[in-house]
Formats: sequence, C-alpha cells, structure tokens
Amino acid sequence: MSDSRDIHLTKDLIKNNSTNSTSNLISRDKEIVATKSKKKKIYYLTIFILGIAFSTPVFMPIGIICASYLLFQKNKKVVLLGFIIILIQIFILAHFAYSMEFF
Amino acid sequence: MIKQTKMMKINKDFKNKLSPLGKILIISIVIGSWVFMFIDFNVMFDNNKTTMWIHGPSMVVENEDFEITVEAWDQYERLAGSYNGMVSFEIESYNYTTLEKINAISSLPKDYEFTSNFIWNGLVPAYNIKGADNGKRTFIIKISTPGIHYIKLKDMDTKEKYRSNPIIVKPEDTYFKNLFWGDIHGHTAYSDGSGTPEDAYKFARDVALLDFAALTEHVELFPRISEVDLTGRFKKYIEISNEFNDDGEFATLVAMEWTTWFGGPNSNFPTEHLNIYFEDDDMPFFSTLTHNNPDDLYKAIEKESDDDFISWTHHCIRSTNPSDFAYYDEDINTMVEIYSCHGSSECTGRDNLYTSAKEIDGDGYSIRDALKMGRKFGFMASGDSHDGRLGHSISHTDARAVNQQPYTLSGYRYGTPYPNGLTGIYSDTLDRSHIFDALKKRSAYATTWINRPYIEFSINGLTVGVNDSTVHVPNIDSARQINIFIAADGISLKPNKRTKIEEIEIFKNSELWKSYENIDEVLSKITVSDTSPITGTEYEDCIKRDDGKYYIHETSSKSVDPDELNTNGADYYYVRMQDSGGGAAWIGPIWVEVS
Repeated sequence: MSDSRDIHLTKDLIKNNSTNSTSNLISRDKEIVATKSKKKKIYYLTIFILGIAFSTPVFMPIGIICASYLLFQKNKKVVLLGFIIILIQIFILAHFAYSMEFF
Repeated sequence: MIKQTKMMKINKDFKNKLSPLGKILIISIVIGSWVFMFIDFNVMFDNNKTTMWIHGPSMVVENEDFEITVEAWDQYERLAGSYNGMVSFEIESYNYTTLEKINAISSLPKDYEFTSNFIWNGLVPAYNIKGADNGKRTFIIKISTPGIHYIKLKDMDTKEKYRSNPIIVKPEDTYFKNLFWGDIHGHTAYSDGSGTPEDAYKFARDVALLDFAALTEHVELFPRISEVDLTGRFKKYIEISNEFNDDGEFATLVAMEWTTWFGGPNSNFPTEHLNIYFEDDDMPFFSTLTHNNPDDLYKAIEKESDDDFISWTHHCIRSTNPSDFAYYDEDINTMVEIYSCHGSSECTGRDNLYTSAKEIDGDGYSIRDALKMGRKFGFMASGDSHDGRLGHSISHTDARAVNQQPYTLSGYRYGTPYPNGLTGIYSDTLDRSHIFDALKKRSAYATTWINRPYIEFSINGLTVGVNDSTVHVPNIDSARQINIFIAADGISLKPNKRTKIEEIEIFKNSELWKSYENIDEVLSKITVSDTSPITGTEYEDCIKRDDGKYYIHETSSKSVDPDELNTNGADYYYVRMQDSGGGAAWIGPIWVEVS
C-alpha cells in the first residue's frame, strides 16, 4: 500500500516537475520572443524616424527607401508607419510644388 | 455556394496582388515627383562659360593701384570653373565734365590665359576649389587720368567683348566720398535659408565682391526656451558677423529680422517684417516672441542696449506680410527696402517695374504712399535671398533647385522671381560705423541685380544724405535746380551688348514729373529747374473702421490721425533709372522745405 502510494507520489512529483519545467521553458521562450519583438519594434521605429528625418527634399531618396522597406513588411502596423512617411513626403512635395508655382 | 467561394478566392488573390502593386505605384509617384521637381541635369552638368563679369571699385584716386576681378560665368550665373580661355584688356575713358571720350594713361594687365583644375561641372561650386583660377582671377591696374573709365575685356577665343562697372578716377588732391556696395539682407540655414553664415559671408566678400554685408536671420526660429539659447546659435551668429568684419576691407553689420508670421487688424501684431541693424558688435535677443509691435520693440531695445540701431521694412506691397507704415520713428526708420528678390515696393499697379504675383491690392502699402504720409526715408535694395549667396543670388535662374549647393532644408529658394538688389553707399571710409552712419543719414541708393551704376543726384547742390536730405529755400516759388548724373554699369549677360541708360524719370511728390526716354547712352547728365510753387502733399486714403478710428490701410493694426499724414508743406523728388539690360536704380528722395 505504502509502495503504491510512494509510486503515486513519485508520479505526481515527476508530473509536477515536468509541468514546471515546461512552463519555465514557455516563459523563457516568451521572454525571448518579447525581447526579440522589442528589438524589432525599436528597429522599425528607428527606420521610421530616419525616414521622416530624411524626408527633406535634399535627402528624400533615403527617406523613400526607408518608407519602401516599411511598406513591404508583413506586420500591418509597420506598413502603416511606411504609409505615414509617404504621406509626409507627398505633403512636402506638394508644398514645394506650390512654392515653385506648379499650381 | 461554390461559385461564391470561388469569387471570394479570386477577390483575395487580386487584393494580395494589388497590394504590392499599389505600394510600388505610390512609391513611384513620390520618386517621380522628386526627380521631376529637383533634378535638372543641365544645372548639374552644364557649367560652361556663357558670359564674363569684370568688376572694379567704383571710385579710386589717380595713380592708385587697385584690383579688378574677372569672373567667367555659366548660364546660371555661377562661376564657370573649367574656363581656360585667353583674355586681353583695354580701357574706355570719358571726361568727367564734358562726357567726351578721352585717351587715358593707364597700366593694364597683359594678356592672360585662365587656368583650371575644376572637374565638377555644376555639382560643386568652383569657388570652393583651390589651386587654379577656376573661373576667377584678380589683377592689379592703375589709371593716371581722372575721369570715368570702363575696363574692356576681350575673350581671345570667342572674340566676345565685356565691360566693367564705371570706375570714377578722382584727382589726387580732391576730397570725395567713396562709393561702397553691399547686400545687407539675407538668410542661411540658421533660420530658413541655405548654407552656413560663414559661407554666405565668404561668398559675399570673395565671389559677389561686396564691400559690406549683413545677414538678417529670423532669430525667433533659433532653438530657444525663454531666456535659454538651447544651442548657443544666437551667440555664434553674432560672433560670425564680427569675425568677418575687417575695417577697410569688408564691413559687416550685426543684424536680424523681426518677423511676424501672422498679424493684422484683429491682432496686436502688425503684418510687416523689419530688419534691425546695430552700430556696434552686439545685440540683445528679441523677436516677435518677445515684442508684439515695432513701438514696443524699439523701446525695449533702447532699454536693453546702449548701442544705436536702425530699422526698416521690406516687401511692402506683398500680400503676405505687407508693410504697416503707421508704425514710424524718424530716427530709426531711416531707409526703406525698395527692391529685393520679391520685386519692387515702389508702387502698386502698372508703373511697378518688378511686380509680384503676390502683390497686394489697395492704398497705403507702397513706398510712394508712405512718402506722401510724411515718412522720411531713403532707398536701399538688397537680396532677401535665401540661397546662401549674399550679394549675388541665383534663385531666379534654373539653378534654384534645393539639391544644389548650398543645400536648403526649407522651400525658400523658390518663389523669388527676381535677382537680388544692392545698396550703394557714399561714405568716407569702409568700416562698420561709417556704413551704419551712412545708412542712418540716408546717404545711399538702390540698384537691381549686381549692377553698380554711378549716380549723383542733387538739388541746389545738396546730395542725398547731406543735411537730412533736405534743401531749404526762402520762398514757395524759389527755383530748385535738379542735377542728375548717371554712368551705367557695362555688365550684360549678352556678350558684345553693353548695357546703356534707357530712361531717367524724376518723381515729385510721388507723381511722375519729368521723363527722359530713349536715352541709349552709357553716360547721361540732366539739369532741370523747377519753379512751380512748393505745395507739399498728404495721404488721403485712410479708412475708418467700426471702432471709429482711422487706419492707413485695411490690414493696419495701429490707428492714426489723418491730419498728421502729410509732408508738412515739403515737396520731395526722387529719381528712377532704367537700363537696357532690364536693370533699374532709385536714388532719393530729397525734400525741399520753405524756411
């Protein structure tokens, strides 16, 4: 009786340990994913800021490259950032076109 | 059901395919617009010489060694750095009194072949490359015969001929005021222009060959929180102006532009922009962020600084930020900018020689109207250029693109259809205090582009800048003898075709009084007498608003007493000259009062 109880306890222990290690692994994975996602966020935000900074007419080709890169990412939010840069660039070009009396 | 599922799949596929295509299309439109607006291959790669500019001092003493500078220009008025032609020199001289041609004794340079190590076409300014002439060469010459002289230059390869500005050679033992040239209104990337202040001053001194210059940055655009100058830019800006000030060689003024970005009848702000110049080497910080209107501003400056200062308005008839002559202080507002890259502010309508598409409609904005109000100021012209080329802007040419050096982050190299203007100043010496003093006394005149014609204008022997530019006569019908002498600048963008005087007009009380047309001469002397009664004039176009007060025009923010808007019985005369090269000059006014 005691043997069978020991076995049961051992099984429980093993099960508990295994559950703990799995949840540890998952949380570690989550941490890694979160870190990676944070890094990616910073990466995309940097490109977004560079894209805006280089949207002045002299450097606009660099700004366009930044915007294009963001536009062709899978994440919709990142694509939106690309569109924001493009909109700013269109606004700046329109301002200059007005200054140049194109319209 | 199957059909619907199929349709949805097709729709999804189409969307998936359209999305990248749409993105590519949008990007292409942006790239295409940028290339269309900012890339000009001619500007980038065509830097061939199309004309030449010969420049000398306006006034020298006989037997004095002086410098003349020859510059080869491309079609965009930039230095043609790769020019390597051979040039020869001649002199054309006239008697100062009779205006007849004379043979002058002079020592001119020998034939000279320009050298070049310039390979950059329009991509890099030639004046930044050292080691060879690269389109610019200075020579020493001497003229031993008093008179009016033009240095003629011949390009031996093309046989084209060019002429200098008039060089007046005075006898050794005579006193005369020298004539100096400058542009004292310009902007760099420190506010809303292009390039650095250092480059702008270097350009003004070494390429535009000015005697004096001043930058007038919009200091409210400097990074600043209240009293804290975040980047030290204001201090640095003043330091740069002082560094370039070199007595006897090149004078600079410490100055800034007080700029209202909004304003008008319903605000405490007037609409106008003002340039403020200081006599000494420092100025307090002030802007529209600290002071609402010129009256408060002048009081604050007087309180904060012991240094004398002068100030005046510009682009008076531009619909955005027109002048408000209700604000006026005779001791401070000694001049007015009659011409700049924005055009002329002399008058509105058809008589304006350089109209702007943005010209305001209505009375009370133009300089002619301001003179009727009894405002007493002389005429000056400058660039208000934002392309970092103080004294010789190129934003009226195709080389106005922002991707050309000096680069701009803002759009202000566009929308300025005219070349810069220059101010000629009569002064004994070339230094900051004398230039300031001449501007304060109105001892100056205004020209367009880089023209440096020689002009004398006097009434009963009194010239501009002397005795408050005012002649006193005993009776209202006393004779006033008006003398005008003009020697046109020989410069022309068309080789072999020298610039001549086309028309001289005398304006009395802001109305055309005498006109001399089709002159077609290089030199012109006019003497005319006026014996009609001196009547004075007044401004009669004030408007009355709902508050029961009178204003000089619809956008004025300061009420006036209409009975005070007159010349107090004085008549005034000013002269306008037009030349065959499309240039013009204004000198005056001179007031005539009955003692």
